[in-house]
Amino acid sequence: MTRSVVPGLAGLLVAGAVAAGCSSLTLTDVDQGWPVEAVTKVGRDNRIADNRYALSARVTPLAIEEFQDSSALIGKDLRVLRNHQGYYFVTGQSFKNVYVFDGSGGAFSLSEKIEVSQAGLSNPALNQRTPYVELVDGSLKMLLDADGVVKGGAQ
Amino acid sequence: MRKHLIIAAALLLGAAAGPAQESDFELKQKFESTVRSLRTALDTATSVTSLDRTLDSINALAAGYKPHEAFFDKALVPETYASTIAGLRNGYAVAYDRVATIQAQEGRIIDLESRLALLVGDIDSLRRERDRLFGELRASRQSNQQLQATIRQLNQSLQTRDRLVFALLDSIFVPYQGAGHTTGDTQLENQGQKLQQTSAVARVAEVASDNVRFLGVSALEPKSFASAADQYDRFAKRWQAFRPDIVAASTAARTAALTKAAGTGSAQTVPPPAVDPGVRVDSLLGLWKSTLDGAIWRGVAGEFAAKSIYLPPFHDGPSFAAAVRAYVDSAKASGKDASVFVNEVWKERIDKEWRDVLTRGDVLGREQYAALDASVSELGKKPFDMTIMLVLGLILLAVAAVWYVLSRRSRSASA
Repeated sequence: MTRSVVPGLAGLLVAGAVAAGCSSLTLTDVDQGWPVEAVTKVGRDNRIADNRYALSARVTPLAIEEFQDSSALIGKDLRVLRNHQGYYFVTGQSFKNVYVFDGSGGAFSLSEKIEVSQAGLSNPALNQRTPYVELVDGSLKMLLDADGVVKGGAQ
Repeated sequence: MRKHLIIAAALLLGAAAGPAQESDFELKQKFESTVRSLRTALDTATSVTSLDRTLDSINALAAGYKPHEAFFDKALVPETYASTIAGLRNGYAVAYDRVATIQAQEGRIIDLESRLALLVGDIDSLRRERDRLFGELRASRQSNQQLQATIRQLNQSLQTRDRLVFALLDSIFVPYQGAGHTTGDTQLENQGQKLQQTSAVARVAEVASDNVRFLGVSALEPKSFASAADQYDRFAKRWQAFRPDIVAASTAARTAALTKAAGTGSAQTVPPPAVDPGVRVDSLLGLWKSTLDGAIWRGVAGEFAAKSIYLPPFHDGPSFAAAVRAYVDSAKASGKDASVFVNEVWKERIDKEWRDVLTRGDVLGREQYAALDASVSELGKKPFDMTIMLVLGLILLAVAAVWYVLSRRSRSASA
C-alpha cells in the first residue's frame, strides 16, 4: 500500500504545486512508520548505515550525550525505529534513555529524551505498535510516543 | 539428520516464542534464518525421505508464523509471507524431481559399479594374454601361417580390450548423464575418484600404446590394414568424446583432495601438481596414427619392390599418387612394357589387396584412387598396331590389282 502510494505522492505534489501556484498543500493520514526496527552496528567512523531504509547518520553526539564518551557506541548495535509520524526512536544496550529525533531538514534534531531505565537497558527492542512505539527489555514493556511514556514505567 | 534437528529446534523456538514474541526484529530474524536453513536443506537433499522431512518443516513454519502474516508482509519487502512459503514449497517440488531422478540413477550406478569390477578383471586377464602373444611374435619360432594366426589373435585381443576400456569409461560417466541432469561438483569428484581407483586413463593409454607396439612388431596382411584404420578411428573418436569429462572429473577430484589436505593441514596428502591427464593419451594417439600410416605405405611400397619396380619414394596419399603418375608418364613416354606394373602389381596386388585401405579418406581417398586406377588401366591397353593396317592395305591393293587385270582382260577379249 505504502509502496504504491509513494510514486503517486510525488506526482500529486508536482501537479498540486503547478496547479496551485505553489500554494500550501497538505496530505493527511500519512503513515511514515517502519514495520520493523533497524538494528545497525556503529562503525569505527561513528556512523550507522542501514540499507533497507537507506538511513545513514553520524552518532558521535549521541554517544557523548548518553555515555559522555564519544567512542562509547563504536562496535555496538543501535536500534532505530521510525513511528507513523516520522519521528525516529533510537536506543541500544546500556542506554538509560530512548531518544526521539525529528528527521526533517537533513539532520536528526532531538525532539524528546525519554528516560526508560535507571540501570540501563540490557537487551532492548523497539516494536511498531501504531500509534505507539513499544519498548521491550526482558520483563520491561512500555508504550512510547514522540512526547514520552504513554504506558508502563521506568525501572 | 543433524540439519533437520536444527531446523526443527528453530521452528519449535520460533513457534513457541511466536505469540509471546517481544521483539519484531528477532521474530523476523528467526523466520528468515529458518527459511534459509530450509532452502539449504532443499538444495542439498539427496533422498526423498529427507525431502519429506523438510516438507514437514516447511508446513510447521507456515503454521507457526501464520499469526504474524500481516507483519511479515511489511517486514519482508519485497517478499511477502505467502510468497516466501510458496517459494519454499516450489523449491520442494523442484528438489523432489531432482532427487527422484538421482535415486533412480543410483540403482543404475550400483549395477554399473559391480560391472566396473568385472571389467577391470577382464582387462587384466587380457593383458596377460597380450603379453603371451607378444612373446610368441618376438620369438618368431612359428611358421608363417602360425604367425598370421597369432597376429589375428593378438589383434582380436587388443580390440576386445579397447572395447572393455571404453565400457569402463561408460560405466564411470554414463550413469550421471541423465536427461536434463547436470553433473554437480560432488558427482564430478566421485567420477574423478573412480577414474583413479580403476586407473582408467592409464588403461586407455596402455591400449593406445599396445596398438602402436602391435603395428611395430606385426606384419599385417594388406586387408587387415583397413580394419586397423577403423579401429584407430573408433578409438580416437571415443577418446575425444570422453576427454573433456575425464579432465573435469580429474580436476574436481584433485581440487577436493587439495581442499581436504588444506583442512587437515597434512602436507603428505597433497596430490601431485595438476597435469592434464589426457596429454599422454593424445600423444600416443598421434604416434599410433603415424605408425599406422607408415606401415600402410611401407607395405604398398613393398608390393612394387617385390616385382623390381621402383617408384619415387612416397609416405602419404599425395606423394603416392605423384609417384604412380610419374611412373605411368615415364612408361608411356618410353613405350616400355609396363605389363608387370599394370597386371601383376596394380591389378593383382594393389587393387585386390590394398584398395579397401587406400580408398579411405584419410589415406588416399576414393576419387584419387579411381583416377590413379584409370591412369594405370590406360597404360595397360595395347598400342594401336600399324602392322595390321599395313597388311590390310596390301590386301586391298592386291584385290584392286586383280580386279584391274581381270577387267582389262575382259575388255580386250570383247574387242
